[in-house]
Amino acid sequence: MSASQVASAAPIPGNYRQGSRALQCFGLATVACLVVLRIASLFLEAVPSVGLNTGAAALLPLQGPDSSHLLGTDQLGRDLLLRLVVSVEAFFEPGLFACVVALLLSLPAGALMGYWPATPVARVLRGAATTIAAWPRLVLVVVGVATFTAMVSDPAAWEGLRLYVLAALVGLSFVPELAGALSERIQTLQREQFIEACRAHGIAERDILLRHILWSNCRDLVLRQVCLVFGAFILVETSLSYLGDYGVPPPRPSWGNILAGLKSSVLHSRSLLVPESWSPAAMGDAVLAAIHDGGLLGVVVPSLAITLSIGGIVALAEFLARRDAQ
Amino acid sequence: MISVARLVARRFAGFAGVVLVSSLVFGALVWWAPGSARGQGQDFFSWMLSFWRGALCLDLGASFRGTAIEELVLRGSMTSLPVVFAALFLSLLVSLLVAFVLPFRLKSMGRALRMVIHGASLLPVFLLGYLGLIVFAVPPEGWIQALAAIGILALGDGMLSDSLLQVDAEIEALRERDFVQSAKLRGVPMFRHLLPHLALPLAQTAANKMAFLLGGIVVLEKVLGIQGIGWIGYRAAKEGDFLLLLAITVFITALVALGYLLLDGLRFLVDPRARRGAGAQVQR
Repeated sequence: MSASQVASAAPIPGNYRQGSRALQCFGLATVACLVVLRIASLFLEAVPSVGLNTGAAALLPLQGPDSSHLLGTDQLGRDLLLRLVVSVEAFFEPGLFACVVALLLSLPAGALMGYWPATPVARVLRGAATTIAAWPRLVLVVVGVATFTAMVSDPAAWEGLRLYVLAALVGLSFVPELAGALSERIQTLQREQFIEACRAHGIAERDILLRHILWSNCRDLVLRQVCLVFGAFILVETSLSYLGDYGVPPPRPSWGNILAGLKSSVLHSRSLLVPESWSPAAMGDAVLAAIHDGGLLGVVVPSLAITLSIGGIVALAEFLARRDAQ
Repeated sequence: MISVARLVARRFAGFAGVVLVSSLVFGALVWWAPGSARGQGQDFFSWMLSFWRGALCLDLGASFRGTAIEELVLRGSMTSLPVVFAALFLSLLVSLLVAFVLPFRLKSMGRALRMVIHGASLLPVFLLGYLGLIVFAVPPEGWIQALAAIGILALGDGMLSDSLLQVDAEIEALRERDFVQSAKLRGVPMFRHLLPHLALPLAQTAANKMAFLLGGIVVLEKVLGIQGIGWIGYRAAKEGDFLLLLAITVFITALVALGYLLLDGLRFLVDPRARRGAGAQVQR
């Protein structure tokens, strides 16, 4: 097993090269939505119906949507829409931190492995990348976060830091992929004529590496990987929050723990969704009943939010990969 | 011949190195947790030595619940590994079928199916498990649960999407090769010529996806309540049974490293260029 094998540098099939503009628009729109939601969440945290304060007055549980609560309320009588918006804080900054960790570790490692591949340091780094690539991401995260939780005396007081530990581990798990892809690209570029020309003109090796190789020719590759790290962090955070032990603990909201909390009400919705007859009117009535009395929107909207967020980030990564391939 | 033996020895040393370093790293993590051997006055390296000795003799001691650790790992892997391999196989099979049967020439249908696959594959494994459990009432045990687990793992977290992208890329690259163009001109069925050349790329994809699936199984087993290796590992982490957690982590890492080792072996057997390259590499 070599580091190059772990880099998923799959060439993009030519037939997929259409529709880049749509991918770009979808990706950028998703990023813009997430930024807007994060800014909005800063102002909404103090609203009592979000339920962050234990003493806050709760509304009636599992209410259907109305004009004051557009998605209704959850099983504890908290406003679902507001909680969905505030949930963005669970992955926004930690996700960016995961990207920073991945970049800080991968850029020097990839540059060393690619530009000076025969040095002992590069060999050691290649071995380290190969080893990390053999660790399944979720296993690494669960072991790391479980150890951290066991080590701190009061886990509740360190919840915020736990998310950043999780982010650091997700960032670390991407190092072999990013460093491997960078190293391959740098090795290919080193054989190009323009690099030979740079050397012939007496440009310093550091400038060739930083400006002519990394900045000019690896920018899209790095940005693509950064997008993938952010998307993977959303996936890991929502998954662990849903499972309930190592993600975001209640009462702080996360799309994952909102879904977990509404599990029993969904069972109720399911029974409501079975129509009395299979006529369109009866089916429409059943859906409306499930929305109003069963909290169906509370499950559908977070599920869509997770899928669209990850989808948008992946679409942006795909667009960058296509631009890079041109 | 000597160069081949050296290469094999090198690959095995690489495999052992990955397992050894991984066990050291995870062992160091676990070492700092309260309730570990550190509290009992043992030093780290003698504890690790006893762990490796136990791993080699299949005697790692007992878990918190009193069951032998190796028995738990074996029982868990007997439940989880068939699901993982079946999901890997299913994902590659569907990718191959879509890539062969619905090439882009059947424009509307091929494109629509690909869009559906890429869209559905965006769903996280836990969400698919959640929907399966609640909306479709997947039973808590039995073959329907196993089939649902295989389907979810083969589809979710972008697994099928990635596989399809890789297979499409490989087939497109192969279609442009001279021998395929000649075969096409002579009217020979393409399938027979393309498939043998896809063996290595498919094996490469499978090896790359092993770690991914073994991570996904942790979440899926917890959601569906399947008592496999992921479920046991998650429970061990929650209960602070760090020796069991370490054993499971090292076992999973060894499985992934073994996958890459087998891939190297397959490449060596199938691709004569790899054999020639290996000789030159060792001589150098």
